[in-house]
Amino acid sequence: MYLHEAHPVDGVLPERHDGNWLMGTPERGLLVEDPQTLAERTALARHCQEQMQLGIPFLVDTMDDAVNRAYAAWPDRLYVLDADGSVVYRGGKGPMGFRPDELAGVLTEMAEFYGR
Amino acid sequence: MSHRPRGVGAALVWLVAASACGGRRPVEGVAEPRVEVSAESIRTPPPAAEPPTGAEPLHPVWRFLTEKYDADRDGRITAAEYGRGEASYARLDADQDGLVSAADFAPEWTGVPRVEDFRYGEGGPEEGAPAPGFTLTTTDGATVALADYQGEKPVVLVFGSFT
Repeated sequence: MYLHEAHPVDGVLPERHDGNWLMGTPERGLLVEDPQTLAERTALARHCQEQMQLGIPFLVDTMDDAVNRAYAAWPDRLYVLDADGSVVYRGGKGPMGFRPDELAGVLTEMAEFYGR
Repeated sequence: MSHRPRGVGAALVWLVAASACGGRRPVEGVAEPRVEVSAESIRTPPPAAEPPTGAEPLHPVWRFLTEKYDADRDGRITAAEYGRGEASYARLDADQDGLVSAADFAPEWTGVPRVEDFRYGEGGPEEGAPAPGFTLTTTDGATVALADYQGEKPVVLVFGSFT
């Protein structure tokens, strides 16, 4: 789920520490303007999808950040929902709380519960 | 997705995206860049700032912006050259002199947030609670509703952004 851009050039810049830039030079291609329309947001999400090569669908949040608000998802977060639509796992808020290892554990438990 | 366990694939719908930033682990010895923001702290420059010198390397963001927007190559980007609206332009104009220039990316502005970093609270639906529904478009233009998956399979939601 693509949310609101975290570090656009006209937003909260990831600033330098000890002379090193944490993120982004024109050559690395990680410098982007904050999307102002759904089309721009979708284009950036598509670019991210191509860069990440994850092979999963990318949904794009609406410009009013409705899903971001509903899930308190900013800046990144993991959820697992059961088939009945209830929340099975609510991960912590990223980046520190973003824990793929916790997600893996939940999915393994669910697979065992459902008998694979 | 090295964490994806065996045998689970058929039971899951990988509904959504990941973040280039999301899986990032903090680099040892390097503080997280996030700055606690209050309305008062925004645009409050640190004291005793030194003026930029000619020896300073160009700020990558300033270099990015000049290459893309400084059409007349005069070392300044006007609002008209930028063309992405007043709010965005004002965020770039850190010293608020009405013109975006290298001065807005001088060391004195390092770490000074240009916009409030909104996070929409700490909550979200608790475990056991119903997941809020949504209908969104994908990067391929398809329309997907969370309700489409209800009663079918578990769903993993991965929230993030590019940077």
